[in-house]
Amino acid sequence: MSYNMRPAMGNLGIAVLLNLCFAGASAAQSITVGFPEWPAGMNWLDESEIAAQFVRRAVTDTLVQAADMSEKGFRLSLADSLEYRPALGSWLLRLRKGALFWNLEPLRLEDVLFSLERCRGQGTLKGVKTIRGHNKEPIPGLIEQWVRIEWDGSLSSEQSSALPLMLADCPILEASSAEIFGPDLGLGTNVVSLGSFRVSGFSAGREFVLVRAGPPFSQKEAVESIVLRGFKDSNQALTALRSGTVDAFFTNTFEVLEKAKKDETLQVSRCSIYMIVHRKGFNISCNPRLKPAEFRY
Amino acid sequence: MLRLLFIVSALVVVSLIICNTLELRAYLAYRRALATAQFPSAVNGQEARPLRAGVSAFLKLPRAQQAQALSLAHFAGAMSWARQESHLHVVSLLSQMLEETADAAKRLRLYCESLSQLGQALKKDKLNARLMIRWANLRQLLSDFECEERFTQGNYHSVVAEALLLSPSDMQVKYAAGLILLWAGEKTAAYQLFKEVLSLATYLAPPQENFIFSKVSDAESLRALVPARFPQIERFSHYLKAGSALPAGDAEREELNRELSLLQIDAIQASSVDFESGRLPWEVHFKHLVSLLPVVADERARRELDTELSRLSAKRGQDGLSRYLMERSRLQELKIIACQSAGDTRALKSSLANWGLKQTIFIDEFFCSLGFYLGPGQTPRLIELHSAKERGTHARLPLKILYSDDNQKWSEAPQPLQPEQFDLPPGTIVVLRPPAEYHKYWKVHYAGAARERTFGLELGSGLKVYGRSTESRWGGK
Repeated sequence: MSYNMRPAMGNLGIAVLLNLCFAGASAAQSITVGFPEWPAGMNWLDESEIAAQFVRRAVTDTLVQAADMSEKGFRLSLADSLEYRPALGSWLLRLRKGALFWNLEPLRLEDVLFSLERCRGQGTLKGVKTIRGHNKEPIPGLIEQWVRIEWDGSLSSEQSSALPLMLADCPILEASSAEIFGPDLGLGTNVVSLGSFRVSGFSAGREFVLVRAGPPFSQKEAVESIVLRGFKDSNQALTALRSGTVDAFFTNTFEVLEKAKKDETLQVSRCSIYMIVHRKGFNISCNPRLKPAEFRY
Repeated sequence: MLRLLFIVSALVVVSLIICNTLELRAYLAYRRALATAQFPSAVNGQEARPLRAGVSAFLKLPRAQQAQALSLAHFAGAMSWARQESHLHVVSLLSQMLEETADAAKRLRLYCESLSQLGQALKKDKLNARLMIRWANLRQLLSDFECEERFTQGNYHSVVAEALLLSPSDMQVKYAAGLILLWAGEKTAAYQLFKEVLSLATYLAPPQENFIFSKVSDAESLRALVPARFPQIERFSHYLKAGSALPAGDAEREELNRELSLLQIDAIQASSVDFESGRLPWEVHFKHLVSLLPVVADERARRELDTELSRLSAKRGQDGLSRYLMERSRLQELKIIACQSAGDTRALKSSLANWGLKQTIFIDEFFCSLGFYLGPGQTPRLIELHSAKERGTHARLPLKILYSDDNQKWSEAPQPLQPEQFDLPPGTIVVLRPPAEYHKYWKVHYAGAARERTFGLELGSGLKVYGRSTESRWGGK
């Protein structure tokens, strides 16, 4: 079983071309999203709060991304080839060529190995026995970087087929800077990654500012910057939405949701277990998971 | 008696003339065969390089005429009085035919024929080491295969040894001998020859040097291949830093780095001994040491380098630089991750972001902040800003040091800053002395609205911090 795709952002030329194509299609937008009960010292790489997940999905990328069921549940992202070898109990991934961190350093095998080991240490990659990397040179001068993930032999092949979705929850980080940040990795601006956005500033418990790290890759990605704003409670967030200081906010407070449903200018949408209150005409992207890069008017 | 002697001499001369004429006629016949094969310009137009022109024309001949031309060339070479060039000419033709032949049996036959021709050439020029190496190369390639032709039997080992004995200073012979032994699986002997080539060659083509460097895969091969001397050690350090030869495993990489550090230290000491004994001028020794600064393997080698540079600077009366380098040699280079904040007008409140960028920035430009993150257990003593520009005057820049533990609330270092400046090729170093306390986030802030843009530095390598570390993961004790 193997999955292959052409590189989504293989080289600068394609990226520039896409940028030119979409530049005229829609105007750059800046949006503000509210989060009630935002923890003050949030580590957005490790924690499970919706605000942390939102930053994580905007700022980092993964080898494989979750997609809707029509596409086998996932699509390739930083990997451009994925093969499952049931006889060997292993998965083989080839890293996409030309992928760059937003500090313009190339994605290397050691970054992926570091990130996968980090996720395994946190329990994200359950059932993985060993993770190994190696280079291949199919033709002289063309180096391919491969990762081999070996599966615990006691698990069934059905269980091992869940690996791609586990990889979709494992952010790929630059190893050298992550090692220096140590336990502070994921606090505030402390990360070097290769997502659509980067953290350009923050104020603990109150605000996160994300700005686009590179050219957009689809017409849906019209947002240039996202401000995440913390609120004391959902009522305060609803007031902010009505007064126009935020464009959407996450809440699970029943009373606030009921109020929002009665307001003709507002709309309530669901993404997984989360409810989002937003203005009518503001698009929430959740396919099947949260996609902050595609939030837009 | 005299008449008899005259007659014998005349006979010898005549017979020599006849022999040469015969060889010449055979060669001319071969050339005619090429010339009449509808490619006269390829032969006639390049008389200055008849061999290449001949080979080129030869390849364009139809198969039947190729065979005819080759047999004529063979005939020219087969004369017992033929010159060695005739044999080498045949070898060139055969090697061209080899490139176009995929059939294994035919290739073996061509190899045997080439080997025989080289053997015949060697017979006529017995002391030609390069010919010996060519013969040994083909003999090694054919392994145990027995050719029927003349001069194809023998041991390539002894021929290689003889060639090396005959031309001990010919580095091309040595390099080729190394390749033959490497292909024969005799790594130790091959590496020994490569090391000699690296040590002694006054010029080595970059692909040859890179080929030798590419054989370094671990600490053992590094020891075996790279000599502990300048400029070889500096060139290899650059090659390794480019990432081409790094082994995959962390442990192997660390071991390789440790070994490289030892080699660098040995090279520094060897250069120092040469300088002290008067064999090396001050300028050359200084240039050696400075060339190693950007590619120094680890802290041990860096300290050794700083100590030697300090000693050397003192000899030229550069007391300030000497004292500074001695101070730096006693400190550890701390692991940081740097960033820049342009137009940082609210320096006491703004957070640092965009970590790890490696672009060139100008510190003396509109409230620019240069920031870094310091891992736990590290106390800074010196902050170095490296300007690529030599002899700049940056000591009076309005620089401030700010620190923070949460990247939000910042404090300014209390004591006034007196930046020091030293010229150390290829640029200038500006040194700041921060408070000796641990904080996670640091800023060097240009407190001015001017846009001077005179002090440019590369963010990845232009900012260095030295101090003390208590954590083992940063290499501290």
